[in-house]
Amino acid sequence: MTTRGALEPQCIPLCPQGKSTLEVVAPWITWALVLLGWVVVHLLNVRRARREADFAALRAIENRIFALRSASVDYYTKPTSDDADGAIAGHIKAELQSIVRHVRQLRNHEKASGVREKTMEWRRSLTGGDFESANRKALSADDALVRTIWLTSDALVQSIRDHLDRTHRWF
Amino acid sequence: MKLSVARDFSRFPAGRFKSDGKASGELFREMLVEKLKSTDKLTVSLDGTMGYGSSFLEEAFGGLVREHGFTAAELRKRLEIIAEDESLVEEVWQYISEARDKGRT
Repeated sequence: MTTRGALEPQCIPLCPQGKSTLEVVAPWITWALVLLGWVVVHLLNVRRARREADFAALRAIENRIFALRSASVDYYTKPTSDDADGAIAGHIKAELQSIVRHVRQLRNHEKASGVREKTMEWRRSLTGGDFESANRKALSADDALVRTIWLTSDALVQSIRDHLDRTHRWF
Repeated sequence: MKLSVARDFSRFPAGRFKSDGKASGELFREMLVEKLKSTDKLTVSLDGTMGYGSSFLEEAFGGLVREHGFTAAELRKRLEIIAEDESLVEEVWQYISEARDKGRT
């Protein structure tokens, strides 16, 4: 029978005879590190997939905002006609509502007060003033309202982009 | 008392003045004023329509201050606006706040 010295590490009760604690524990540590590594890689992949999905959604929203900007500028700069105007105005409102709904589905949208503010400014520029007025006059392409529609559309897109950049920041 | 724009007025609110159509902001405002005469607290739901123009919202709600003499403080106590889109609710309260000083926007 081997006598253990006072300075030798004491084996835990389940240790096989002749093996040190480190020899017994090392495989478990290895497996724990492998598992930890797997978890980290998995979380990074999930994060990357979320980012790609969010920025794909952003591109889709951007395209719709720019398309609606064009439709609105056309609406305000072309001569009015009752039938066409009603349909175009209805399209502008419905599309605007749909875009806002998609913006609200973005990750952490409830924290995006800047986006909400830019959304209101954008909606006001597109549908305020003489929108749907029976006496609306066609505007020139360089009218202040037309410029405002361009500016608020760009500002809204930028605010959404900034919001997603902040959401997906590492630190 | 509860009022739903979609159910009690129109699913297609459009335009600012009565001359703009049958579902204008001016007409809706008249409905609001009538309801406010008969209740201390009115809840207005903006959901269920096919979208709003800011011209409609400004005339309907900003007009309460501008044309009918309500104060923003009084409307804060007596009027509750609800909508899935919070930006719409914020926009309505902006019009109410701005109406006294700026006129139509």
